[in-house]
Amino acid sequence: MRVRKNVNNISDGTLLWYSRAVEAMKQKDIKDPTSWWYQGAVHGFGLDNSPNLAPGKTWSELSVWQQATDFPPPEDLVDSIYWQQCQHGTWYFLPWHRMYLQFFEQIVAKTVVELGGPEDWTLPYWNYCDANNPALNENEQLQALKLPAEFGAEQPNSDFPGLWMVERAHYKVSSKADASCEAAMQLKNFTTPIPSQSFGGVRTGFSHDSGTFGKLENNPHNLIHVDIGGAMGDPNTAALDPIFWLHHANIDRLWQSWIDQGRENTSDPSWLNQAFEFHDANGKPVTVQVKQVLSTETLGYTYSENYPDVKVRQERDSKLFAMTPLAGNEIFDTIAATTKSFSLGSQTTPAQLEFLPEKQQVAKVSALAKSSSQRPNQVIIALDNVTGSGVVAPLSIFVKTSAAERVLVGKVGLFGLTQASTPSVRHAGTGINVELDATEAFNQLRSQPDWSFEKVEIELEPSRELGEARVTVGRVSVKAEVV
Amino acid sequence: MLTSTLKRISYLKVANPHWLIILFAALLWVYYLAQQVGFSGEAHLHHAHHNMHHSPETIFFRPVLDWMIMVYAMMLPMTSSTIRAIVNRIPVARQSRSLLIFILGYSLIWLVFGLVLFSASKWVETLSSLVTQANLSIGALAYLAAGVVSNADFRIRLLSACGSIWAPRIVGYKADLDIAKIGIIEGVKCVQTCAHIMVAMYIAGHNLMQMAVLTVALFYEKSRYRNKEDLLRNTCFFLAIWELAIFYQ
Repeated sequence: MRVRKNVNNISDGTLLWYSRAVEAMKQKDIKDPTSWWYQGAVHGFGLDNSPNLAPGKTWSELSVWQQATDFPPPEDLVDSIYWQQCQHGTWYFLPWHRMYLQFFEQIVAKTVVELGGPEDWTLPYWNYCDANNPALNENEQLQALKLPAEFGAEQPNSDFPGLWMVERAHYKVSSKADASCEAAMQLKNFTTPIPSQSFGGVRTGFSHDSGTFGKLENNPHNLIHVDIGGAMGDPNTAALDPIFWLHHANIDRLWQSWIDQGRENTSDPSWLNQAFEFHDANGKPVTVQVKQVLSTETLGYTYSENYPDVKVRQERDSKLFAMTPLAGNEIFDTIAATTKSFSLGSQTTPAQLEFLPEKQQVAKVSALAKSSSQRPNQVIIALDNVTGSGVVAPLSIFVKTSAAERVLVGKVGLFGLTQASTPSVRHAGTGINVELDATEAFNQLRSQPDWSFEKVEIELEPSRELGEARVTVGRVSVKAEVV
Repeated sequence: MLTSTLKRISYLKVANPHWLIILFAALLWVYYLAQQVGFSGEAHLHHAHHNMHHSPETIFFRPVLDWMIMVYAMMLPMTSSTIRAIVNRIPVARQSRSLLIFILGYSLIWLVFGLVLFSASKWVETLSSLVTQANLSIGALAYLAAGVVSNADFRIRLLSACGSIWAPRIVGYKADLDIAKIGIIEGVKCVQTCAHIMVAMYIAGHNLMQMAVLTVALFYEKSRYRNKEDLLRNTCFFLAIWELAIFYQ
């Protein structure tokens, strides 16, 4: 049984051989299923020449892909059932990426052996979740936000040239909030009609481009992608960055860890029977169904124990347990919404809400504030039809009233914004939808003496300047649980 | 036990807000089956281009009614994801009203398309006679053409768009207008995606079995679609062969 380990806890040759394998795979033809380029294109491929992968840089999808060996690829390969297959904004997000990692790991391991390396090479994971690990001190937490030194900084690490990428915008996650794994891990259900209450995402069909994100997919998955930015921030180039694979190994670990807590995946046959196509280490086509990848041990690997695994979680302070989602009836009433779309700037942008008349509200958020003993109803802030282009840094959502300081609701990662905004054979072009649990933020506002729901204001703020990126928000709404 | 069952039912209703639509479509299929049993000697259910042999009062209303029943039986289940998207984005107090407005907008487009199709019935009959004289099956040709269109890029693009809506406003008549717009847009998308199938069935003078086969194929395509899935195309080709077999029998 192979054990995937935390990259910050290994000191053997794993990264050295990974670097060598990446360089060897980059030499191979883009048409070769075992090449670095082919593997990257399985996730996404695009030739947009807009320089919008990072502010102040000239990087574009085209400039990244032009570096591929034997570029350009033939059209029939681009449109084949093997390229542009990543699943986002869907309940297939976790199983598809598990399959993807499994075959990638086999290909790298085979390449390592061909280069004279060990036979048991195993993909490590990057545990940025440690940034919120209460068992670590502040320095250790901040260290978890940084890419391992082997991946380079402004310049490549000379011993590990294969792990560097010029089109990587940042070498450190900008905020602990972008690496927050706990909230998703507390969810009880793999899928529900409510995206923010779904660990694994919402029910969809085949969903290559981003749509409605589940909890784990938004945070930490999306936030890490767009926070690192550059090639990592765009699904069409993300898998060409070697750190991509360690990031997704961590996401895969979190899924297994969630199951180990006693949770259950959905038993829906349409999820279990969905099949996807890949190539194995010998370049032969293989078809895998979701039900075949539900356990890492069955696939021949496991993860080293790490935060926030069950055993670690039991030892931490009780603060996080207060965040456990309330057991509601999952009926939500939309009680306020913006009336027209608006563009985001690099600074704070307010969202002008229109409130549903109180007599029409089935969920009365303001009334509940009168009784502190009553269980507060859950409140969700939803962003619908977020369209635009380019890589946008994590977007912070705040709520406030005129008399109180604003409270952070959460952060949104608009990973796949360009693709979700472009009508194509893979997407309607209606943009990204994402929901944040605002219950705690609203509870803080309710404690203010002059609280009134109709005074609530919502603000959106990107954590970095937009640069060439463009964002339009179709609608912001507030939903409250009907109790 | 009772509480748990009620909770389960409540959850299923929340998770499947389109249940009423599915139920309605299912009842229409029961109606078709009953009709088939009652008129087992008749080969066709609708055979719309032959309706001009009927009495004057049935020339317009009966075909239109039959057409809309067929649309509801086959197409309403395809709107499940759109209905789910609408329900998730509007106030609870407006849900029933919004779903009704959505269905009206959606129906309007199919009705207009049906009327256009009926207006061409004379032409279809002439064409059918010519093709038959040439010892060819018009039904087989129609399904063959439908099969060719099934994998067209524009169709796949529209198929991806099913269930993706622009979030509506939530207050007053503007909210109703937004929902009506969603219904109309969804109707247009649905007509563009499925018109070739409906036209082929109309020309072929479809029977219940063909209708059922195509409904299953369309539903499968929509819910389980992955790029390069050829199920609908192959189903059309299969029906073309079926029509040929009947023609040369």
